[in-house]
Amino acid sequence: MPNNKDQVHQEEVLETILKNVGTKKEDSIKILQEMQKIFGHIPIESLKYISQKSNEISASELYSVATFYNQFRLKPLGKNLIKICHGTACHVRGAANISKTVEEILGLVSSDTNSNKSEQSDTTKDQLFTLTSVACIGCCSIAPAAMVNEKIYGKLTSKDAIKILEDIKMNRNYNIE
Amino acid sequence: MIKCKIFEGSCGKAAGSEILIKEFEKFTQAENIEKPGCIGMCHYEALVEVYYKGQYTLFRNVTEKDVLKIITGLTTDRGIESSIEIKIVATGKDSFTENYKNISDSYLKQQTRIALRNIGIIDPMSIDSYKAKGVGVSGYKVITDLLKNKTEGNEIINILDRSGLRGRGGAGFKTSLKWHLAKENKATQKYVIINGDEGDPGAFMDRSLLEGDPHSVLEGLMIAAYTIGANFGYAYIRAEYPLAIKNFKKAIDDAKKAKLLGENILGSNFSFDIKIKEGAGAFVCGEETALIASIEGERGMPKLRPPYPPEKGLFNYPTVINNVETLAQIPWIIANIEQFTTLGTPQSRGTKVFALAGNITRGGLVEIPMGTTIRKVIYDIGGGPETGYKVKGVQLGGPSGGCLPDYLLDTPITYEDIQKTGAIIGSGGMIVFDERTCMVDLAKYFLDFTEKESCGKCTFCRIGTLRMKEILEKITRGYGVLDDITKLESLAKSIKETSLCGLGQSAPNPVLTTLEYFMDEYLEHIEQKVCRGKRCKALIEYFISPDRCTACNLCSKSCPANAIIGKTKEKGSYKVQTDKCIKCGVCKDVCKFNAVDILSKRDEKSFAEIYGKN
Repeated sequence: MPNNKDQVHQEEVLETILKNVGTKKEDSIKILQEMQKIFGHIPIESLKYISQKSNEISASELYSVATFYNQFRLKPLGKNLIKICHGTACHVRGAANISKTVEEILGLVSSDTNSNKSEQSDTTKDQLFTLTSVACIGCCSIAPAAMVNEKIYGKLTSKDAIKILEDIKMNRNYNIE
Repeated sequence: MIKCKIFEGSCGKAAGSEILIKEFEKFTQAENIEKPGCIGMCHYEALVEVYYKGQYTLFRNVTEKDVLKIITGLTTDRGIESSIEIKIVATGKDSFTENYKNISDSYLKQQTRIALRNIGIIDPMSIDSYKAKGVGVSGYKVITDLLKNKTEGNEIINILDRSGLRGRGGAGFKTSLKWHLAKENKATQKYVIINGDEGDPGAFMDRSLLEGDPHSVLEGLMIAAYTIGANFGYAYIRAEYPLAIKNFKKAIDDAKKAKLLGENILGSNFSFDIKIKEGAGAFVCGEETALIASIEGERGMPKLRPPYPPEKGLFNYPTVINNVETLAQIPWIIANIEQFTTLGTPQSRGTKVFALAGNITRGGLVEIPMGTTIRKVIYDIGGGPETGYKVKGVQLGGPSGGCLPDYLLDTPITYEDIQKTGAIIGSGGMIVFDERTCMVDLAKYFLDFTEKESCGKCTFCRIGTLRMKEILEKITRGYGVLDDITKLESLAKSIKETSLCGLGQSAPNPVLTTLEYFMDEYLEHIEQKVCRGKRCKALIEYFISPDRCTACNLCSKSCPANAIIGKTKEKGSYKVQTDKCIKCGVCKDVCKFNAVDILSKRDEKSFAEIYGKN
């Protein structure tokens, strides 16, 4: 439960978002996207607050939208978001092996679609990494690909994946030659 | 003075284009470094064109270390060293970014680029570049002329009708008919929407267009709006494409500044404005009615049709939704209608962009006239399979499409011919695969995708795809029985017949086509528990060959599951503990002596006989 200070801060942020985006039904997705940009995920408490401030959006409808789209997380994000691409080209070029490697090293099972809304954790205990898979980031020619935070890595091997994780842990920037 | 162009799309960035820019800035000023959008020759990323003393040279696969060598090679007597020389794609007196014909490389030479006409040539962040350097048609000239001449909407529709243009997003619906239906509607408010929700895994042409030539898409949309009588539009772009969103936003801002958006454009009666709506990660939102629901702030669940969007769409008003590639072609088609009608076949006119990827030598964007054979795209343009492998087949049309075997590669690419094979052209994703792919695993992969992306509305799509996926899981784990194949076929039929939208209606296609063309692999999995592609983890084992292993310990050190035991320098001692092995492939990746084999049950027997079981 957020304490009072957090709650006030959260409400201030939500107020700003609603002022900038709007409170109409059609603004629902944009509101959630802005919330996620700032908080890293969608705090459940915020849905009630928004429905109080909007004539057109109910908390349950907002919840149904938040759980429908893959982009939205209901659980807090780790410091580094790893998205391993599982598009067709990446699959054919060995994305399954990359995922397996990263899962094993981080001790996680990667989340995708709705499983990040379930009990299973996709974030390491030290909150350093969140591991997800994404359907396709459109970089098929450099398959297998992955995104770490907003950076795209291509032509990955399991070996590269290990190095990227190590470098993040050691705070280095990784470039694949 | 050195000038250079570094092609920047998402892949270019991933290949390190930003680092290259920093490197080149050490040798020349920032204003001498241009950044046109990606040219679609993905296998050559990062691509750089360097100009020095009247000569243009195009370099491929440029890395940070190459930059100094390139500069030294061009500007000193030492000349270009061999490691750089092999990276020269072309050299000449004319810039390759002025005209594709300046590149003699067969990849681009064999293409007919209409949708892709400008990418890599214009600067996507500059409206002036679009206006001045538009290939085959100057940027914004078409809409300007239409407004100046007060051209009737019906005249534009007639031109499109003659062109025979069909939607390039996948449905292949006649564009002129769609616009006509919306135009005829007497409603006072109408909308146009760009469908930038390119959700097919394996398709990236829309991304490249939005990143590399956003104005052509915007102009196409404006022409649509003017034709049907709409004053407001939306660009629905998926959230997974941040660079496309950024570049399209810039295009809108620049068009506004140039007074090409807003009230009474260029002094005419036509007013038009546009807003970007980001998708939130839902493949089903590529479907028109689901996309509309998403813009309206709802869950992206398709609606029953009729009424179709041109009759009742966004907020219940007539709406025309067009794909990015379709819109990009519109200005060129109107300016060059005679030429367009000479391309393609009567039922499938014009050109189509394909995103060629997978086990292929030269992957990237390929735009060819309809009627070209699959074989030509894969071999002549794409350079064929990777060295040492054979093409096993090709997947067309994404998760809605089908897997075709090598003996169908001479099929001409037209809507009608491809449909006869059981696949579809779809958005244009073309994934080539070789013998390292398991067809059952590939079918399972697609079902995995569509099952997750199903919106849940229709029972058979929601539960049927899950059941099909479970059956395929069973088969890939070695527990399949022959009756599973009958079940798959029966489920497929029911799902296709009872689903409301294209997602469900086409979800079974990958399974149906693999059953038709690759049945022997299903039978091998079921009857012999063998995965010939060596993909299904339950049916393979990693094995260290005692002959080739040098006992260097690298694999054991690297194994994330600590599954490899052995004594350094003691040959023959290294073994993979199969109960711990997660089959991630790291050992095979790191081994410098090619000593790690992947065995399927078939091989296992013979190895076990020679070496004794691990």
